[in-house]
Amino acid sequence: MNAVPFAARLAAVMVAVLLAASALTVSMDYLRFRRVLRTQADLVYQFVANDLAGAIEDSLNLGLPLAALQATEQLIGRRRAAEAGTLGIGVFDPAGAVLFDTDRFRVGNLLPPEWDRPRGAPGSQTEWRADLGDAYLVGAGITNAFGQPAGGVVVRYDPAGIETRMNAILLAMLRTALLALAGAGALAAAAAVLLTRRHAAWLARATAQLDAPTGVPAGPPVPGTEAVMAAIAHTGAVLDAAEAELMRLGLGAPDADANGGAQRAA
Amino acid sequence: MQTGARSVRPDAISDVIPGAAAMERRLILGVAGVTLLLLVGVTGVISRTALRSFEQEVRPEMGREAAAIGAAAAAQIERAVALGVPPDRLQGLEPFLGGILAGRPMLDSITLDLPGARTQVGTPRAGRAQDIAVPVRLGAGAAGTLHLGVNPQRLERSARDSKWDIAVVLLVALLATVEVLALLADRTVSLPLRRVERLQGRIAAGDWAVRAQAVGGDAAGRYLARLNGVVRRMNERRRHVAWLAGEVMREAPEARGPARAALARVEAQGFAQAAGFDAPVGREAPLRSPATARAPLFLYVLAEQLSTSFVPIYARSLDGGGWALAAGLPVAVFAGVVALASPSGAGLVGQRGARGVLALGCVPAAAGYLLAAAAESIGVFMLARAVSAVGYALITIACQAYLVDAPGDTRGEVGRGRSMAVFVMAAMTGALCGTAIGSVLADRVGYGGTFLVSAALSLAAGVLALRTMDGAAGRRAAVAGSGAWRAAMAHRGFRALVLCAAVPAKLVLTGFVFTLCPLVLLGLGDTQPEIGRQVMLYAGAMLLTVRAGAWVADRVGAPAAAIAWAGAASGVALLLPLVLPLAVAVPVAIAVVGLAQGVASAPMLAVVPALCPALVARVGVAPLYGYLRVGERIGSIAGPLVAAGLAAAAGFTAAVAVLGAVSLVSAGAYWVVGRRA
Repeated sequence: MNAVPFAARLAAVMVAVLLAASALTVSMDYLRFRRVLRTQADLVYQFVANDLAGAIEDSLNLGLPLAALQATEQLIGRRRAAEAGTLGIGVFDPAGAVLFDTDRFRVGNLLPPEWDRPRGAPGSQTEWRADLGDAYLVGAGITNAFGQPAGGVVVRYDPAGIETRMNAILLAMLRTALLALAGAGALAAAAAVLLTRRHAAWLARATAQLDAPTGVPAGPPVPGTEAVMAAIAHTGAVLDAAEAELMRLGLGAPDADANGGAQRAA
Repeated sequence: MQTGARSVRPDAISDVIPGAAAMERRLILGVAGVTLLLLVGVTGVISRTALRSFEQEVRPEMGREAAAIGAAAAAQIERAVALGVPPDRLQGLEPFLGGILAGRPMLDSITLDLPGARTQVGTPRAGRAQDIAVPVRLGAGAAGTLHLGVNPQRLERSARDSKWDIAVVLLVALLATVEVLALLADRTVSLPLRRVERLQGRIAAGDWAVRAQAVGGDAAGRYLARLNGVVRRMNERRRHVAWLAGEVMREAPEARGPARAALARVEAQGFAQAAGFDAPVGREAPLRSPATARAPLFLYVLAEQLSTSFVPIYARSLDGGGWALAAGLPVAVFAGVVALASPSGAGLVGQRGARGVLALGCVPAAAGYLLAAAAESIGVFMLARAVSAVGYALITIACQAYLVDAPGDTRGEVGRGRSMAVFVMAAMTGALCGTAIGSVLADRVGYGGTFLVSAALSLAAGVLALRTMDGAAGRRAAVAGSGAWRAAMAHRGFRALVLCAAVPAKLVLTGFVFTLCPLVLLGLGDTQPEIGRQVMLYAGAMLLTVRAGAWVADRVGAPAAAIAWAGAASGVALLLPLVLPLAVAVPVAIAVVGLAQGVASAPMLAVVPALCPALVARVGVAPLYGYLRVGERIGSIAGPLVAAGLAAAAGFTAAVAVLGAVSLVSAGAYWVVGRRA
């Protein structure tokens, strides 16, 4: 990574940030819209469940037990056919036994626990919702004339309607994001080159002046490096002077001079 | 200029190389400006598409509920007709349709058109109303129609909510990515330039015992490598001179004096004194920058705030709705444990350094989230929140200690106020983003899943801290020692800061903004999203003025005045409901409180070292931040209780006015006591 030119690294950073912002925007908008759609769909099917529960309560108030309300089977069958996207409607008693269901094989079985009110919720809870994976579910409680829980109605509906709409929204957003990112990425690359041009030129000139074969730059030092160049020159001069004086003092010691010369060459 | 290495003051480096500092500033500003422009452009275009798609795909769904209601009503009418009642003789249609209309504010009117009869309940709106027509089959080819007039305000409100939702998403995306940009720009732009600047400065100041580490192959790396080469060559020449002097002194004893003098002149140049012939030259110390603490703090606060929107709901669901206190208790436990653990955290910073404590704090934080995800009872959930609170206390106090230490070791223009503004802004941004992201995340992955995401993010914050922060920073910020609490509260200035500034600020925040405002707005008929947006005004306004407060603290040198004036401004804002309609006064007051507390937030932290230098020298600044935090927590816990009590006793307007008066009086008291201190 360090060998990558500075402008390229900067452009990569800018593009990464743009990518992150786009991903965050798309995913949060997607999730929010999904919630709105789901809430809206739940409202529709919740009305259906509440309406059925109300109709059943009316019959219960006549004094008939829930299991004896044979018209319920036709009632839920009609509502399933009337409301598009409904996968099934079931009616259960307070013990959780399914008394009526548009899927006949469920009648007589116990209601799956995830279909009932949330864990810990009181039996008097009138509305609940659940995500079954392949279906969404809304429930409505049934109470008898004395206000006691008498069972409930559950309506299962197809999530495909929501998925289709959400896929359309996601595709539109992704298409726009890709196009916008492509344009912004090109602009970011150009901006990175432009922004770092002076900086790269400064570093190149500062590096080049240190590469001078004599160790001393030909012209004036690059602005911003005056102090460091002065320090290099000063310390170099102090070392030169010390070496010269020691050489002069040690003229009578040829071995030392030879070794010193070899070291300096290295 | 040519002094030894010992005289190099890090904050003087930018004075030595002014060009490099200006270049870095220009480059950072350029990169931030261009990236922000592109960010606004890209996310704006995406948001526009999102809004259009929403209108296209979601709005039709809005009419489905009315259609379902219509279908149910039509079915009953059809059944009555099927039983043999002629359509024009149907009795009780008005009460029947009125019953459907009642309690459904989404409907303005219901009209039943049957052959030869028309029944209408409610008043249909002209123009913008949406009409849902449901056929009524009457048999033998006859048909009627049931018209449901949908209230357009509902659709408009829904569309307005969606636009706000999209705007919030846009804001969150911008804020979150600006935090990412701050870290990446620091690592990519500032770090190489600061390394160049620092190495140049050290060499310019005559320090030949330094060498840049890990130079890369880019332009800055090549320059650093050349400078390293110069340092290496100078050191080799110095060693050669030392060897030469030794040879001269051995071979020519009469030249010992001049040779020693020549060597002394070289040694005075700032070479590593302890270095032998083969010893390596010194290496640079790690660079310390506020940005290195900002990213882990942001990530952690984001993780913590993911659950803010649902903690009370989750607690109630675990309790089964039986215990009235269940919703509020985990929040209170969290605040209480943070208040208790903060001072101990400060002591730990003195022993292990800020980086170590921050990384350590991420462990209980993550453990708490994991425990919360697995909780099956309210007791376990409260324990989980308490464990996470220990992490929160450690992390925030470590960050403050790190940031108070950071300015001294970085560039001179990064003042303490500005450094503390980094803390406030990272925390506020993390809170805003975390709350917004958490609410949609919980909807998708559930409460448990969101806590798992929090655990992963807080561990990532710990790893990021270990990788980017300087391990030595923050130690001097926490000397600790026994009796620190008593000593701190015996200091008049510090006591005034806690009691007259920190406590009232949180009292106003939690009492007015978080408790009274939602209640009164609900009473004014605002929906939940509308209330949420008005409460969010506080954070948005605060973010606008945090930097201004830091500037007042650093450049104007008047942190105490900023704190006092901010308290007074909050107080005056809270008196607005006395003279303005509530619908206007409440949002204006929220915004003014946000602006004022934004101004005061950084100075409140930055003022501590200057306010009580002797106390700071004795106990360190981190424990004082811990006590300040205790004060804030006391204000946070007291706020809702005091506000609710006052509102119950004297009504909303009076309750807000009392809170405003408390803020005004305490600001005045702080001004008087703070100036003397």
